[in-house]
Amino acid sequence: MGIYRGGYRTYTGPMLSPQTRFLVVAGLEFRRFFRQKWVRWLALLGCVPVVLFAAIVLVKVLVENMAAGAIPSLELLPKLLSAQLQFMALLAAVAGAGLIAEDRAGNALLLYLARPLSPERYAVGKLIALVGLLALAYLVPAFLYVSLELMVAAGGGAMHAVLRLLATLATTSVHVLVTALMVLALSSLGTRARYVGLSWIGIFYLSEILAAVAGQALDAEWTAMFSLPGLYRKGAELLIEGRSDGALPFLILAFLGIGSALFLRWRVMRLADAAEGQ
Amino acid sequence: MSATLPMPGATIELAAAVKRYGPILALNDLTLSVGGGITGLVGPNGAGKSTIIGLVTGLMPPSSGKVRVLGSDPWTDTALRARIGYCPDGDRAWHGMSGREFVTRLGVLAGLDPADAARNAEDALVRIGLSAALDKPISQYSKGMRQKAKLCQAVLHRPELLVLDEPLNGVDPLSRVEILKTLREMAAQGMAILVSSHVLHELETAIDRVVLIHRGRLLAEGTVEEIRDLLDEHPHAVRLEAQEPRKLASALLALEGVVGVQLLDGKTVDVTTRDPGQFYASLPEVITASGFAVEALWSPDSNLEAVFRYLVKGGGG
Amino acid sequence: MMPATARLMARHYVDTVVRTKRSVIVGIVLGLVGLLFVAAGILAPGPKEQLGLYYLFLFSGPAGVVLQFTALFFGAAVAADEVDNGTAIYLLSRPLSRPMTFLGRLAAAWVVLAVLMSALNLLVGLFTGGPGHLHRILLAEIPIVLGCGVYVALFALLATFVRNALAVGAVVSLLWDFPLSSVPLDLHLLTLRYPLVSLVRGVAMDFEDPEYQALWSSGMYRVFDQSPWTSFVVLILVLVVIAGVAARLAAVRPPNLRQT
Repeated sequence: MGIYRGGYRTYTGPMLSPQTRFLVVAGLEFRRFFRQKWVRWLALLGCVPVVLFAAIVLVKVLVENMAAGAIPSLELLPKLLSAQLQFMALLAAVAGAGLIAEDRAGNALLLYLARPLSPERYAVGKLIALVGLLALAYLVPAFLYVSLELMVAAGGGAMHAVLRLLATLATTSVHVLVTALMVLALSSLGTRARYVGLSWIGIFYLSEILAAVAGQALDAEWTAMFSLPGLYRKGAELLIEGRSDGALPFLILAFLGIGSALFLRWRVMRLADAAEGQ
Repeated sequence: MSATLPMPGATIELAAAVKRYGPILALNDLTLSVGGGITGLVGPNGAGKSTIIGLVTGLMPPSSGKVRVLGSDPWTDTALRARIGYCPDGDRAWHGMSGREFVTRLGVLAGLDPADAARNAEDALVRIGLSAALDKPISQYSKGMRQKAKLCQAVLHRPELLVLDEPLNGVDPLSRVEILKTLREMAAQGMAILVSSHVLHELETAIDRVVLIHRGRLLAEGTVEEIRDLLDEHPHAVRLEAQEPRKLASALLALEGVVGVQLLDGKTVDVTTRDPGQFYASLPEVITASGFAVEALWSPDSNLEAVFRYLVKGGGG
Repeated sequence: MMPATARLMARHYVDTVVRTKRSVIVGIVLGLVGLLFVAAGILAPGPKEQLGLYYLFLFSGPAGVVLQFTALFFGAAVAADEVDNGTAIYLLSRPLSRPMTFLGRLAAAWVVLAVLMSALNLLVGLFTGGPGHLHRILLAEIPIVLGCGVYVALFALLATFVRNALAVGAVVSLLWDFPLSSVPLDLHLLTLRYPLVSLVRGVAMDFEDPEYQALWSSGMYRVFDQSPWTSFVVLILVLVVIAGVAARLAAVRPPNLRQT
């Protein structure tokens, strides 16, 4: 029966906890991602590299075991991460660019903020959804691949395996979080998902060109740190490979993430003020 | 059914028109003709009104059947679209443009000379009451102002047929009155107008003919009076307010043609009668003889909305 | 002489897409990229390094990722911007030929992009390739202008029947055009980059130049070995076919005007 026919009654059913109410935003967005055809296709395509690399590892193990005595090396992980990074960047552009931009375009911010939901929690809800999606494209394949490699590799011991898994998880988590924060921050600036997505892709790939130009002009390899993909690649070397020259790129990436988070918070508060002032 | 035009020479003719959007059947074998004057296209959400408007304005072809406007197919005949003016629903505009630029640009795109378009745009906007906002960006206009600007662009090139999709949506009451007045003036000058709206009670004061649509099918068409007469085929509701509603209800139940009486609240009696003419004729005698003090009398069924509700529930069409 | 409808729509495209804050930002970003190359060219130790920078610019800029993304920006707007705004309904209800409406907008997008890329090429080329290579820099304008047309037309075509033009454009660029150019199989023959980069290589690069030799022997661009004349004809044909198909689609296929 319609509410208007039942006569006005105060709701007496269970209420969500104020602390976790924002998870509704995350859940809604996550489900919305997979209603979009292109997001589903990209997520599926993103499984191809990990399947391919896993197959290579298994074949390698078979061949090398047959040759007796050889241990497969783990040099494929950087290549896998590089491939998955492309998918993560694409997914962030296709799915994440519109998260706040479309709410702005459709004047939907007020709908969220008229609920008992603070602007920060609104942003965190959106962030969790995007982190979840990007983790599927980046963190999960890396974790599965490393697990497979550790299972088939001879030697190393349990402690080594655990450390390696934790290092992979930590690195990929930071990468996913930083990517999601940067894309959300960009999304809060625009009202058209297409242009926000293009901006993200432009920043991502243009930075590589600029780094190459600087490298050629200055004849230096360290300029790769000026490119976003370079930061991801080099940063992975710190935790996963234990190489210290990955420390600075990792720190720069972390700094970008923190800066994006602060900017996003400031921006969402401003948008909330503007929406309420309408 | 073969797609033979129902009334060749009418302004708008649809013959066995079917329109599908994938698995959704938006128009189901619709045959319809619309002539001059103001015709109201009425139906609930999803009835197919915007689809009909899309076919008539040449925005899409029918999946099957025929559509003719002013004797030609609007989807294929580019020149025909210069004789049609279209005011779409929703908040659509290039918001960075001023009202003057918006109307002028669309006038030029309709084929007017740029100087003429600019001059006529200014005239039209001033006449409709937007003189103070001519050069302000449309993003700063109120809903009513945007609707007026959209109406100006639709009539700037003096079309023979004007099509308006929900022109009264979101518009304040004063602006609604102004818009309806403008439409009546244009119809008086010979323009054929097709207007779709949900604001039935205001629309019926302006329109000459009504087309009722539901679920992609034609329910009824005709003048407002012809449509109202359909009500005589179904029980008519009359409401009275009185100090002694129970006694009044008993007295009214005895009248011939009265099929039911209901007490709605402490004062109101709702009477359902099969013969409203007889009921109204007998009512003064009942009230006088019984001495009841009747404070109010009205019928919720004497309007388009009631007709529509009756027809949609399967009482006609 | 452009038909009146096409001229009107070209002007409308310039007013509603090009003269906007977004397009100005794109122009500024491209300008900054160009200035960076110029700065790098000035700082480069010698002519060999400068020429290397120019080649890097050519392959990453007007024949690379910069072209593709700028073409996606302007090309998708040809078909998608008015639909996203909800204003396509005004244009389609006007007495305007639909193919000419599309082609007018496409022509405007092509001209704008070609002007940007050509200017960038001249700016960067003079400070990196050097005035001594001016004839090569000018010859490079041919594949640059043609490449702009091809990619703008491609993304405009995709935007006519796919709602998410960004996703499709990005997939075409990043998962097709670029990766297939670098795999060892002959899949690069299926990319649009193949004739474009081959033409750039053929007209803009000095085969006697040691920097060119270094680039060639590095293997990175070895696969782009189509003859310049063949590449030129292929690009013209591709442009005509894509523009023709898109214009035909505009004529027969009603756009999805439902506002999201």
